[in-house]
Amino acid sequence: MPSLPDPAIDERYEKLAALVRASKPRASAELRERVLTLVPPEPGPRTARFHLGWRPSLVLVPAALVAIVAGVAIVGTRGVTGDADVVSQPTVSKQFENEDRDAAVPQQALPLEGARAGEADRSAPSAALPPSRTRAQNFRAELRVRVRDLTELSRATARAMRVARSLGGYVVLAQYEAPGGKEGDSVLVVRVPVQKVQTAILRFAELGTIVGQQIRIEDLQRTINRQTESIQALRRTVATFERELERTDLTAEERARLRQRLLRANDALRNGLHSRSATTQQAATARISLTLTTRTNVEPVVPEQPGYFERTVRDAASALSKVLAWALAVLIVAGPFLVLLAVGVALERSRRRRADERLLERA
Amino acid sequence: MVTTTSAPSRAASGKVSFAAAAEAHLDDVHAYLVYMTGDRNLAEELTAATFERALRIWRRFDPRRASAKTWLCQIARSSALDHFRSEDRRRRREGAYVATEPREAEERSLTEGLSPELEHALRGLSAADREVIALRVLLELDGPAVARLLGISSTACSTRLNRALQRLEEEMRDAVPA
Repeated sequence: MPSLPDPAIDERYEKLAALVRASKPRASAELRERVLTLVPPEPGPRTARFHLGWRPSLVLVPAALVAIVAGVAIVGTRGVTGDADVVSQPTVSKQFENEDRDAAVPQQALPLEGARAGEADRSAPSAALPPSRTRAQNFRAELRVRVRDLTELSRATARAMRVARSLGGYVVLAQYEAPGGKEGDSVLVVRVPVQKVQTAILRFAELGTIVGQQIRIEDLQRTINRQTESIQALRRTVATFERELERTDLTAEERARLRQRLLRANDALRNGLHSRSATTQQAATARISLTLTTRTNVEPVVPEQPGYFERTVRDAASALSKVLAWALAVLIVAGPFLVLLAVGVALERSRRRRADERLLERA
Repeated sequence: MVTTTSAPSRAASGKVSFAAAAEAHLDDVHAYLVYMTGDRNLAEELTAATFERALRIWRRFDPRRASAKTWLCQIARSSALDHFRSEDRRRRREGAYVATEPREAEERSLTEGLSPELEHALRGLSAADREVIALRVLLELDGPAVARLLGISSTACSTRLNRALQRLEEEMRDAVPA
């Protein structure tokens, strides 16, 4: 008697197992013929299909994901530094990246500190950054300039006011404080025509040592466009009402109702025109906030000038971190659902296996 | 010999042709289904259905994951379970009438050459018991392969086999005429 091939089968049942094996059912000739006729004729080498199976997807899917993430990172990087052509100085590219766009991010601000008055041409980069000539913008600049003493503070304040006026601007606010008689501050808020803002900043920088500078640009073109569209639509509405009122077949009630609507449309049109005028006016002048101080505790810092490679790396890292943040957010949101799905699948498989076992027990 | 894949690719993957696999394992699949269903005619139908299905998905067969015999038995099991499920639904639909209907299969012998005691004993077992005996004893598949096929652990598979053999032995004892 042959022994059982697997030690897991209890030796007590060797005889029984041999009996079972000895009477193994054989397929009938009809069944054999039926099955073997299923087999199609052998295809030639040309007809053999190239089939990769599912395993390449283990490589392809992660590779595709990496490519997508890299693509998004590159696009993100280009989104941050893409319009470098309109930037006159690379160190402040961020301020002006949306200059010729629809201001998807309307406000950008970049603090620049430490430009010295004596080096204004080189280290006061804002002076070389022109406001857009094609788009309306809300241009704001903040300058902090240190002067030698109170006498110089007084003189510089007066000179700054003269500069603003000479450029066609005006002083919005002037505040001079020298409480102890030794140190003092003078705060000036001026508005100058936007075409003269570069000159104004250069002149203010010459008043002393720049210890702080911040420029903020907000695109207003989109707002103006929207207001213009709204005004045009209102004008069309007003014209329609006026034409309607010229008809002679209107009843008194209809005519009164139309007049009411015409009045409301005219009011809205006036408001729209006023708003657009205000926005245009806001874009016509730049607001410069100049703080002159005698305090020495603020040390000028030489601005760092990151190189092209460093900026690229920073931008790429920034874009990548945004992508990762999104991916994490998606994972956090989808995570519980995925876990539930996995549990559901596992439960369903377990239920199906138990059902199969019960079925086989009954059969 | 007919093949469905080109020779070089077969050689590379160590994959036999479908025809060779069918030739080699037809008896195994048939025997497994005879034990599982307890009905020769049904087993023949399911065997044919199994090989039809196997031919359709032959390119998915990977000899590194399982032998051709195990793979074919997996498909045979799936075919048999589909049949049992549909039979179960049919019986539930038809209710009392089918419950009283004599089962034709029980009147036939499982296979030629089977002793009356063994046949009686096998009929006394459940399909699950007959299945594990067929896989482990008749087809001589190893424990882990059978465990994977049944979707249970190796230990559970071993326990199930021992219980099935014990029941078979008891049924055999009962079948011996006094």
